[in-house]
Amino acid sequence: MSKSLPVDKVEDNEARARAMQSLLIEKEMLSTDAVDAIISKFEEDIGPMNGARVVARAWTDPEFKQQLIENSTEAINSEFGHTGMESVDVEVYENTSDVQHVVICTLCSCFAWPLLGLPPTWFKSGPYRSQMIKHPRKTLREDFNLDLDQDVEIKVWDQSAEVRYMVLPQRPDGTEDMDEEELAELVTRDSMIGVERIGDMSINELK
Amino acid sequence: MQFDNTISEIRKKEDLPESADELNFEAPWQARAFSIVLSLYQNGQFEWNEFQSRLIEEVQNDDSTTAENPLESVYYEQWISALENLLVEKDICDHDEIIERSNEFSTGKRDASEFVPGADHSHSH
Repeated sequence: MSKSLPVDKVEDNEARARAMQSLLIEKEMLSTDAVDAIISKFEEDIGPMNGARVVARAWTDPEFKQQLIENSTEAINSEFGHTGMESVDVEVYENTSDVQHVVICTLCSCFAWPLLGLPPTWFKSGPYRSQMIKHPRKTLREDFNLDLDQDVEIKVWDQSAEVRYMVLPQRPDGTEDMDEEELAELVTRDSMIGVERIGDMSINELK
Repeated sequence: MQFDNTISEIRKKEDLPESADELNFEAPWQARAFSIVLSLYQNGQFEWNEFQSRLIEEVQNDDSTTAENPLESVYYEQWISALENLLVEKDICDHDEIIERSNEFSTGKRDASEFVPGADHSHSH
């Protein structure tokens, strides 16, 4: 096993990243264009708004919702085009009035990037990765201010290499007159991770 | 395991932008490391689990959340170390050549202009 370089400064990380890019370009395994394209894609096109559009579609189109729950990757790809991560499957779990789904990755903080963007710091942190699986109810209450009734069952989903999860929140009451675009605006990243429950919130709280 | 920060403290410290849509890389090297991995993967140079298993190894070895090590940097340092181990173990790069090339960048012998299209590539080849 090779050891990591003995560096801990930011400039050394920059040098390390550049060194690998430079060598890989020489070996014709990488192009700067491809690297830059991915960076700008993440900076411009990829973020939780992608997941929010999927959620809003599911709220307004029962047939799509059915497909989304039965075969999430295929439903998303056919309606919204590329998920951007070939061969990574996404599974969507639907919250109900008695079930709250929560997504974690205990081992390495993988995330459904194409739908949710980059993972927030807390999602990658040791405390979240270790505590949410052990004490979900307490963690949601103390760290996310989400105090669920005892009769709401919490299901924690730990991601694997091949599958990423996303939560389909419940549609909040009082949104009957809103169109898909307006609905998408209400959907937060945290509600799709499962640490926020927008289905229980009022329109005023959401806006 | 004992952690220095609670999730709540981390969430408070996290300088959350107005909208989570704005969440982005903190530093160019983080974006570079992340994108190199995704680009190689998309080109079929490795299976995702080959990278992931090395990332898991790095994460398990170094689960620190201390103030001196800002969490974002720690995560992408784990990411960059996992990439390096993958390249070396798959005989794509030699460990020494990575060190040598890193030194060339950190001493200014090379710079990022070699990644700019049309720039003078006097160092390459």
